[in-house]
Amino acid sequence: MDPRKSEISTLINTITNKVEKPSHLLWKRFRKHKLALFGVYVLPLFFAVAIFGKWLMPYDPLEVHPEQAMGLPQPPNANHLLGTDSYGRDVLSRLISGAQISLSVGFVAVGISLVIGVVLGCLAGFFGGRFDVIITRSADIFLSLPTLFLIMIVNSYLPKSIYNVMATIGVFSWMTIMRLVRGEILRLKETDFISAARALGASSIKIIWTHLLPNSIAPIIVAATIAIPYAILLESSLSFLGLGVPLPQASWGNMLYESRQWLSVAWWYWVPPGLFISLTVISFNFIGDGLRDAFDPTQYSK
Amino acid sequence: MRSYFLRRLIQFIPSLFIISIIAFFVMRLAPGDPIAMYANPEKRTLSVEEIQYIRHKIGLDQPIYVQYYKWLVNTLQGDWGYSLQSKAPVTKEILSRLPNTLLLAGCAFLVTIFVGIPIGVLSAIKRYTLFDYLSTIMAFIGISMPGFWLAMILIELLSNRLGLLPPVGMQTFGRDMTGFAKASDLLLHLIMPVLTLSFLEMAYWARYQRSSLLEVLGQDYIRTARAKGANSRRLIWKHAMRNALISMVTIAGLTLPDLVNGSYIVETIFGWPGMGRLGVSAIIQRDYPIVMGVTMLSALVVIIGNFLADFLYVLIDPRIQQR
Repeated sequence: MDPRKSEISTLINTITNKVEKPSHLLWKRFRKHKLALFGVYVLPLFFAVAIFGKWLMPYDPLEVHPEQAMGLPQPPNANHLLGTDSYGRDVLSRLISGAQISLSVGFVAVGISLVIGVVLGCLAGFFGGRFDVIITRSADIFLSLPTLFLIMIVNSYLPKSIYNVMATIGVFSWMTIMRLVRGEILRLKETDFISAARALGASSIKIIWTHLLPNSIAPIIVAATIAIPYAILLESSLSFLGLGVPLPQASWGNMLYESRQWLSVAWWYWVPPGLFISLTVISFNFIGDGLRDAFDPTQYSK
Repeated sequence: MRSYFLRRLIQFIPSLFIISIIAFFVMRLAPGDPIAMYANPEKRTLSVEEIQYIRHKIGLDQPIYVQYYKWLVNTLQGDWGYSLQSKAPVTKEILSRLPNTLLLAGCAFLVTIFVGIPIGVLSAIKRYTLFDYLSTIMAFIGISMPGFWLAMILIELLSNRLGLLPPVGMQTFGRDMTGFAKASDLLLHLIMPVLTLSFLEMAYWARYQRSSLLEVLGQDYIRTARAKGANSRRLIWKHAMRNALISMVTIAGLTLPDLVNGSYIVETIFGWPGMGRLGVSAIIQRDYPIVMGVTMLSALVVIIGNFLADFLYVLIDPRIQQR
């Protein structure tokens, strides 16, 4: 064998071995973040509970048995693993149905703010000029709103429903994502590959959709991952004040609202919902932190 | 410098304006008549004429933009209307509760600074030690745990089980106290609300303090100082902290709105007679003059917080204003 040829092939081998797929590299960096791994293990449990909730619930979460409860929350027993509330409703079933509510509020609300934020961010960053001034100025104004109080006001005056909770949270929290997208697009807009795409005659929409957005996906994902637990906490706070998900529908927040008066009587009623909120939110936060480190190797190496 | 601040100050006006429009229109366009809600059917039902008369007297029968204009003019002149519930002037209702909220938020702010910063500094100095890991996990718990659940745990453990602290209110009822006894009673009532309110903020402060100090410690001038033989305490407190605190100023400005947001829930749970509780119960009772007042005041606090952050930032680091 020609020695030079083998030299080349080993060279190729070392190169191909060294250069890993970006996704693989990402996972390798992500895996080092122990807390993020905790989130990766815990969160799917909650997803599974929410998705298969229908079959996991031992009882209908709305089914009342006043004759069994006699106005008092009943402690855990063989029939009700986590006891019942004062109406005789099964706490475990309500917890599971609360998982569905909390997670769907988190995802839908962030979905709404993602759509608004990405569209406005693209408009502001790519087209600039008057769009930019109006959009960034309104983001500034929205950021100076007393958000929680306004969401409370709006929800207390709208007809009570879970969809209004999702919508109001989404509408009041697009600003971070907008700023992020705008910044990324401003940064990428002047790069050579965008000029090349433009020279080849690509339309603005095509440039945004196929070049700019895919290249700014990392910070968007991180921001969305951090926004979801925030939305979940917001929903539970609203529900806890009686202004969120309407009763008798169960959400973790309104379970705490109802169980407040049974504090010393029924730990099984108020400990699990709070624990579940905390676990879900902390898992999302861990994952968000891990993703940020994984996407930004410069910071990681520090 | 002055023109920079003037420009920032002028930017507040549209913010406040838009906030008032959103809040006002949401409340007035919503279904449900506040008058009907306050008519007590047990005493006697209000006749249609009477309701009409009250509506006319309050100005509810006018078009909404006229109502808004009147509200705006009155508010600017210092007349914030009257509470539908207590019939007292809104300004009086709010001002009587403001000191309580300021006391609560002020204590929470102090606790946050005096606990959050040292924890952050320690975990930056002792990076990757047990202390660092524990404080990181605690910080995540602080960020992730709903404040109202923490409050419920505290009430159950410290009040109901151990009987150490009073669960609600600002003072013990039915006991006339003066001087020291009164102050210590107030202090006992303050502990749990302050702890709840500051737990989240402490977590933020510790995290930011840690990362900003780590960033500064990686800089060349620190290495130079170290090479010249500065001892490590002097190095950290004299050289590094000065620069690390610059980025903390931003957090300080953001803490103010967070404390306002937190006060709604914390005051409601602990029965603290402050602005937050007033606002929440006004929302539930549809007492819209009060709701408007609380909205505008909390918006003002948020805006002042943002402004203070910018102001301090420029004060500490004059390079910023050239942007």
